[in-house]
Amino acid sequence: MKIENTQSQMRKGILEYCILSILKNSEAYPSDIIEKLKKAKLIVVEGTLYPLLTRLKNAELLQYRWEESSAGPPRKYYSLTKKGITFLIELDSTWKDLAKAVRLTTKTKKDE
Amino acid sequence: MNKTVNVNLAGIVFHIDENAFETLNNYLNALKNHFKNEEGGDEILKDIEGRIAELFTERLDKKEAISLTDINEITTIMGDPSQYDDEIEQEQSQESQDKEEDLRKGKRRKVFRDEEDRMIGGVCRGMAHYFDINVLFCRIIFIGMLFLIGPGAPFLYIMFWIVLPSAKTTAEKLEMKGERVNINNIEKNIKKELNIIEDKIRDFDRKFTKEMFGANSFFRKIVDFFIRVIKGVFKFAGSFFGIFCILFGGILLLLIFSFAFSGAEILFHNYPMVDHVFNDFFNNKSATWLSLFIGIPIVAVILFGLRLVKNTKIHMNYKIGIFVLWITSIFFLLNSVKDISLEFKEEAKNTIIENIITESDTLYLSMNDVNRVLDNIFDTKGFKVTPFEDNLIGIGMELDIVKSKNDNFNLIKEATGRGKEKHLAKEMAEGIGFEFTLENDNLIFDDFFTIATQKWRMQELDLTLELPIDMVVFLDHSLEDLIYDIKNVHNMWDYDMLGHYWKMEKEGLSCISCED
Repeated sequence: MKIENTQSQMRKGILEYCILSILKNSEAYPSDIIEKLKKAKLIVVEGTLYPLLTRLKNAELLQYRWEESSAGPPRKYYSLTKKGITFLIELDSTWKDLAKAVRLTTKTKKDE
Repeated sequence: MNKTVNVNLAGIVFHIDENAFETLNNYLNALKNHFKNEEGGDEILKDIEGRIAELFTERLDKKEAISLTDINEITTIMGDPSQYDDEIEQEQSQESQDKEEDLRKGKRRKVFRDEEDRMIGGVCRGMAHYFDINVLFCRIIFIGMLFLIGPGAPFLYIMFWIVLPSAKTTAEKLEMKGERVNINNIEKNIKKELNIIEDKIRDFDRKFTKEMFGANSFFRKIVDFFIRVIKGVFKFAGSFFGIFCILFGGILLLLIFSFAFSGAEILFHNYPMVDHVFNDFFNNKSATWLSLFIGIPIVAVILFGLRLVKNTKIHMNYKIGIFVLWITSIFFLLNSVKDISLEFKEEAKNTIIENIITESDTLYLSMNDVNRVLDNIFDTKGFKVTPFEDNLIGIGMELDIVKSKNDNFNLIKEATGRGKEKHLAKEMAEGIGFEFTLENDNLIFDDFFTIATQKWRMQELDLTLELPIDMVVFLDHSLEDLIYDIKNVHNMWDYDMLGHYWKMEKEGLSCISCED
C-alpha cells in the first residue's frame, strides 16, 4: 500500500468538498477558486482544478455561464446547481462526522 | 533575435517565440494525451487553454511576444499532467491494474471459441487467438485433417465445439485475445532458450525448466492447450459415465429396496431353499444391515455419478458418517454370520435299523414318485433339503448295499443333524424320518425324508441295505439318484448297475444278468 494512494484519495474527496463550499455563497471563475485553494495549500498546480470542475459539472453538481473578460478570453463562472446544493449539505454533515471521528480517534491524553 | 509564430489560444491570437512554441506545443500535447481517455477531456483541455491565454494576456501588458521563460513559468503554475495524478488520482486498485497489465502482456490468455467472428462454431478463430496464428492457417489444418483422418476431423471439430466455452464477457474476450505471440516473439523465445541451453551446460538448475515451460513460453501454451482439451474431454466423457453410474446405481438400489421390503423372493424365485435359508437366518435386523452393506456402495456410485454430471459435492461429515455406517453394517453382518455358523457347530447322528422280512430270495428295489420334487424345483443349489408344498423335506439320500454280517436283511437309516449344542443336534437328527413299503417282493423307497423339526440344520440321510449272502436284488432305473458308490465285484459304475440283478456272494455283490 502506497502512502500516495491514501493521500490522494483523502485529498480528492476533500478537494471536491472545498470547491463546492467555495461556490456555496457566490459564483466564481476558476482563477478565484484556484487562488483560494492555493492559499489553503490544497493544490499546488492549477491544472488539477480543471478536470475536477469538468467532472463536477458533468455530474450536474455545477453549472456555468460565460462572461466576457477585459483581460483575455471569456471566463466560465461556475455556480452550484440544485443538486449541487443538496450534495454540499450532505457533505457538510459527513465532514462534521468525519472531523469529529478523526478528532476523537487521534486525540492523545496530552491533548485533553 | 527570435523568430515568432502566431498561435490561437481560446480565440485569441498571440505572438510567441518559436522555441517557446515548441515547449507549449509539447505541453499541450502531453495534456491532450493525458485526458484522451477521460470523459469531457476536450472541455478540460479548452479550459486549460483558456487559462493559459489569460496568463498570456497578463504578461503581454509589458511586451509583444511570449518567451520561453513565460512558458516555463506558466507550465509550472499549471503543473505537469503527472502531478494531477498525484493530486487527484482516479481510484483504481493495484490489483486491477496488475490484472490489466497481465492481460495486455497475454499472461492469462485462455482458449475460448470466438463466436463473434466465426465460420462454423468459432473453434478455429478461438484457437487462432490462442496461438496467435492466422485463422486461415488453422482452418487449413482442419481441412487438411479431413483428408488425413477422414470423418475424424469433423468429429474432432464438434468435440472442440462442445468442449471449448465461448468467450461471452468482455473479460473473456480480452483473455482470449491476449498478447500477440508473433514470429518475432517466437524467434526471441527460441534465441532465449538457446542461450539458456548454453547456461545450462555451466549450471544445471531449475531456471531452464522455468523458462522453457514457464507461464509464458510457447511450449507451455501448447501444453496448456492440450491439458485444457483433455480436461474438457474428460469432463464430457465424465458426464456420460456419470449418467451411467446414476442409472446403474438406481436400478441396483431399486432391487435392494424390494429385497429389503418383500424378502428375497425376487432374487431367489427359482431357488426356494436359498430363500428359505435366508428367511430363516436373516431376521429383520440383519437384513437391514445387509441392505446397508450392499446399499451404501451403490449410493456412493450414484453420488459419484451426480458429482460427474452436476458437480454436486457432499460434505465431508456426511461422507465420514456414511462410511462409519457402512463399517458398522459390516460388523453387525459378521456378527450375524457368526451366530448363524454357531447353529451348525455340533453334529449328531441317529441310527435306526429296520429288519426287512421277506419270503422271497429276490427283491425288486425301486423308488416312489421319482422326480416328483425335482421336477418342480429349478435347482436345489446343492442343498439336500428343500421346501416343498409348505413343508421342509429332505431329498438328498444316498443308498449303499453291503453284505450283511448275519442272515438278517436290514435297512440302516443313519440320520445326521447339526445344532448349537449336542442335544439340539441330536433332536435334529432324530427328527428325520424315512419310509419305505414292502409289497410282496417289491421294496419301494420314498423319494424324500421328512423333517419333523422343519428347520434346516444340514440334515443328511445315509441308507445302507444289508444284504445276506445268496440274496438277489434288482436295481430299478428309478434308483438313479438314490444309489451311491455301491461296491461290486465288477467295479461297475452306479449308473451301469441299474436294470440288473445283483447277487450277494462271499466276495461281494455280483451281477447275474450282465453279459460279459
